[in-house]
Amino acid sequence: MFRCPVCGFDGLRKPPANYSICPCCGTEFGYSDAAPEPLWQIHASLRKNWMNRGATWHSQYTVPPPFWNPWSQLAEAKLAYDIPWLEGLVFSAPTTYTKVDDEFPEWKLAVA
Amino acid sequence: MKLLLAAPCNLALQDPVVGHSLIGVFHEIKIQVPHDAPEIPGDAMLPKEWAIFSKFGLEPSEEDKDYTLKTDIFWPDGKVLASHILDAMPPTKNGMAFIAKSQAFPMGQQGVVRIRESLTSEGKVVFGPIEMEVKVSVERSLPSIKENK
Repeated sequence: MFRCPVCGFDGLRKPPANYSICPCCGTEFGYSDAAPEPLWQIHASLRKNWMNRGATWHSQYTVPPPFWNPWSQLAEAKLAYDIPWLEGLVFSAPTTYTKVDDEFPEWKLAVA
Repeated sequence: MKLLLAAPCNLALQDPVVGHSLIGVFHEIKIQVPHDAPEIPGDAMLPKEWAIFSKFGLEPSEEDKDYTLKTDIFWPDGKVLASHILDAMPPTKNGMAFIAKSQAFPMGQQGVVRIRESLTSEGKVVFGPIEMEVKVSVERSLPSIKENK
């Protein structure tokens, strides 16, 4: 299986070239990304367009994998950096704890 | 069979000598977005690496069996977000551990994200379900006085 460089879908049956189409974002490789600019730049622009269209599943014939989520897919492919609604977002996950069973003193628990 | 620990954390490490280490156990995620940021879709996921760590103590009679942990993650509205099935790592002297890793955390809905786990062996549930919760809150920052003018 191959990964789509636009949306990060990792179930492409053929390499992203030679007019194959990504069922997830609908990119036709060799056609949609045919331009004088560097490929990464065209792919970033196609990704942006796909996200602006709501990042929905493209194909009517190939069904998405179970529990498919476009944003998780982008995160797993390390392509989430230009998601528009992430701009300026800050998050924190306050860490708490601890209950460690005394029977297992070798248990290590590090809290950042 | 005894549940020793089940917790979501930023990172779970496994070392053959010192055992397991959990870094950043969390039960809440607070998100702040700028007041003029675009609307966040309902299925939005925050690109954040995290893991669900679970560890069970085994009686001698329970060792040498195959165990599988089923983990379901639910959106605050109750819909299933993800479902994983993990086979047990080889039992150690400290018990049996599972680490379910993920690259994104649900943030499209405010409320409580529920994580439910069940341990099965030979097709039967032998422990659980166990439930963990992570509270997700999203706040929009207020425009500054300067921006208001």
